[in-house]
Amino acid sequence: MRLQYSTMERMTGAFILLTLLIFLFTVAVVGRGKNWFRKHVVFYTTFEEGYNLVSGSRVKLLGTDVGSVVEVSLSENNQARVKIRVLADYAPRIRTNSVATVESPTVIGSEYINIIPGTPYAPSIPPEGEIPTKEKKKLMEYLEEYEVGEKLENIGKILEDLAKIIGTIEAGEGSLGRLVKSDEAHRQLVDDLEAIDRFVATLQQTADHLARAGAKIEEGSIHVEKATREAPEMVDKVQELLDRLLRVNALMEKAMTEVPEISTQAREGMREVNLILESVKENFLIRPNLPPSPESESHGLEIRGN
Amino acid sequence: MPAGNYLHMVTGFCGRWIIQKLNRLGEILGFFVVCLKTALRYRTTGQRLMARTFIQQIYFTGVQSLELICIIALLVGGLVVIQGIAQLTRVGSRDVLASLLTVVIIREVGPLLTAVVVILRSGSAIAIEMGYMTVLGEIESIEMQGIDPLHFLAIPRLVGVTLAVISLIVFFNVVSIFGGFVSAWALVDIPFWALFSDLAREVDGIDIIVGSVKALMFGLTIALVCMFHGFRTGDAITNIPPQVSRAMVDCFILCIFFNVLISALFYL
Amino acid sequence: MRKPLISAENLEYCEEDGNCLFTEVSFSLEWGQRGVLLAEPHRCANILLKICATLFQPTNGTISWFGRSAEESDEKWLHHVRRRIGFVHRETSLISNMTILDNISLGIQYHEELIREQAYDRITEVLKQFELYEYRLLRPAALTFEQRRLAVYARELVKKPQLFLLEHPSLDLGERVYSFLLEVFKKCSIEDGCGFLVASMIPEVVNRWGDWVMVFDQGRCRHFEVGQFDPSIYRESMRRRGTTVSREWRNG
Repeated sequence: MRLQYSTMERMTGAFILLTLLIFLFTVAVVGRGKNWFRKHVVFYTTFEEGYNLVSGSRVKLLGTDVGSVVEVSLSENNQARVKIRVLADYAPRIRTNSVATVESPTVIGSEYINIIPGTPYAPSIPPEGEIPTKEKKKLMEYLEEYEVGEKLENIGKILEDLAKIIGTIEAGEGSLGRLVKSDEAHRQLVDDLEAIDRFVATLQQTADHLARAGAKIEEGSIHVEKATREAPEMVDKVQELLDRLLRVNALMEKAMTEVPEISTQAREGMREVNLILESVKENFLIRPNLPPSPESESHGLEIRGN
Repeated sequence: MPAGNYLHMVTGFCGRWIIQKLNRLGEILGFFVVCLKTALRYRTTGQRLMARTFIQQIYFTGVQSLELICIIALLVGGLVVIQGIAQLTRVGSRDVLASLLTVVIIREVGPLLTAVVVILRSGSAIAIEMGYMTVLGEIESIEMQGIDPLHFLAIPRLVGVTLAVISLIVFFNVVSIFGGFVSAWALVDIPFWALFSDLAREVDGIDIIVGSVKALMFGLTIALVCMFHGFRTGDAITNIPPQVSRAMVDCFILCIFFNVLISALFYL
Repeated sequence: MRKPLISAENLEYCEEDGNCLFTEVSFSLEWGQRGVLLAEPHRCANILLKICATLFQPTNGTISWFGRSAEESDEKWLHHVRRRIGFVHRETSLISNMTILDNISLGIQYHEELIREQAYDRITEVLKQFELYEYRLLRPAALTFEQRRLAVYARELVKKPQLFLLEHPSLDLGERVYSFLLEVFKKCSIEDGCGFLVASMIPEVVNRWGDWVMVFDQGRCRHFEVGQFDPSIYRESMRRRGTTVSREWRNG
């Protein structure tokens, strides 16, 4: 036997094997989802009619999927005999006092068999056994159950009352009737409505003013906010100015103590200058050329209080 | 020309066209029967050589197409999910996404797109190869070796292409569903395993059977039609292009026809 | 007594348009015998050889191979007969996507269920004999015309046929190779009693191949024993058709 294989042979083999594996995996996954590989137990039920049950219709236990319908056939006494298969795990819960009914999520269509389990003390139905049934309600029974007739009667009464009210209004009776039928009341209503219109216009204006005021407040608040932001800096600057002023004040105080001495020295100097001037005036060369002497005026350098 | 003559011309043309198409279909079916008879007659002859040709055909049609099929499948899966999410969200039924994937990809698009890829890639190659072999006298050379050309050339290709198409459809479905899941997870954060369990619930046994039947029919159709036209090339090399073109068109139409027929048979 | 390798009676071949290429062709080829078909247009000889090779069916007449007629033969038997016929016609070609090794060993691999290596071993000697051994792994496109023609002869000889149907045996072959082939065929004829039916347009082949000659003229054929054959009969036929006479023929 040749045991050396070419790349093509190996790849082709791998390809086919992989396909088989994927196919088997798919079948396994689908089968698991569909309960193909779980054990089932067969039961029978008999209904007065088939209720559109078909092979593959669901079988539920308390609303949970537990199996499916295998076959629907007519028995000799003209009843629908339904063969169902139920998952073996749930089969013991179907007891002699369990009841199978045909239900559907809508009033008509998608029928399924719903089994209501019996009491735990009742014996289980053996495989291939018959599950007791309860017939599916017909449309008329549903109508009776929901008291549709009575409800229709109530609706009729309501309609009659409505007709009466409309008649009263048409006749101009009652507040609404008068309002509808009287011209004066109608004019009054129109006037009132116009007054309301004016009031609404005024309200509108006020609202505009308020809006503008609000805008200004908003603008002011921006400034305030700005000032608030700048306040610490301004305080610092004021503090600095005060410091400078204090320093200037101290210098002024010091200068004031020196002022009397300076004024004494100035007075002495002025006196000497006066003496010199007097001497110059006396000179014969200058005296004829001198203008007339001015009136005397205080120059403020005299000693206060003199 | 009187109106009656025009009517005759139109009906005559239609009638001839239909008869021609039916004739060709009959010939293809006859070719299939002859292939089956040949396969049975020589079932024990030349097995080693046949096995080699068979492996070569699967390698060419299946393994070498796998890359292309996977790319197309990923894109198609993503596309179906994107459109599904866009449309189903409007009606608030996003939970039927798995059902949509099952219906669109597994039942219809998967088999048909795979068939189209195989027709374009392998079908044309087979028709051209057979055409050249006929024109260049290679078929007669094979016959003179005491080998039935149908047995040596047609049977391995028929079985190989069919098997490859079945495998490619399985790959297409798996990869496109994976592509769809990834798109769903990326776009709307639907958990991968939630979709997977939904899909396992939605796919029915009938879907697997229908997929297999379609794959079988497509594989047989592609191989048969392409070989049929290839063998009918005659003795002029200029006959090859029209025969190949005819083979492509016939394959495509027959595949669509079988797709509709099988879907109608199983789902209606 | 051994039945003739091939015998034909009143063969007729007409095309679909009603044009008959030949009618009333009758001949018989015995074991070890060599027959020559001289035909112009050559298509008559080509079709007749294909009928003899079981590839075509005559529109009329009966033909039998190894004593069994076409009517008695089913498809399976015809395939069996083909293995006993070595057919090299002008269009015979090798399978272009197979190597020379696979081309030559195809029949052995198919019928004898041998694995490739065993089949290759069987043909190594033939390949060396035909000077093709070093080209064995190449495809036909890589070979010269002469090598390809030789490979076709090798393929047919590997079958060990009993009847050879040859069309233009010297086509594409050099003198040395042609002589070598003649030796091989001679050996086959002497040792195995092989019969040869050779078709050509060149009357010279009669000298090398002919025990009897059959000349096609206007769709009918005339038989001659090789000693009675006068090339002028064929020359006349060719002249009537206005065919260019080959240099070999003119020299002759």
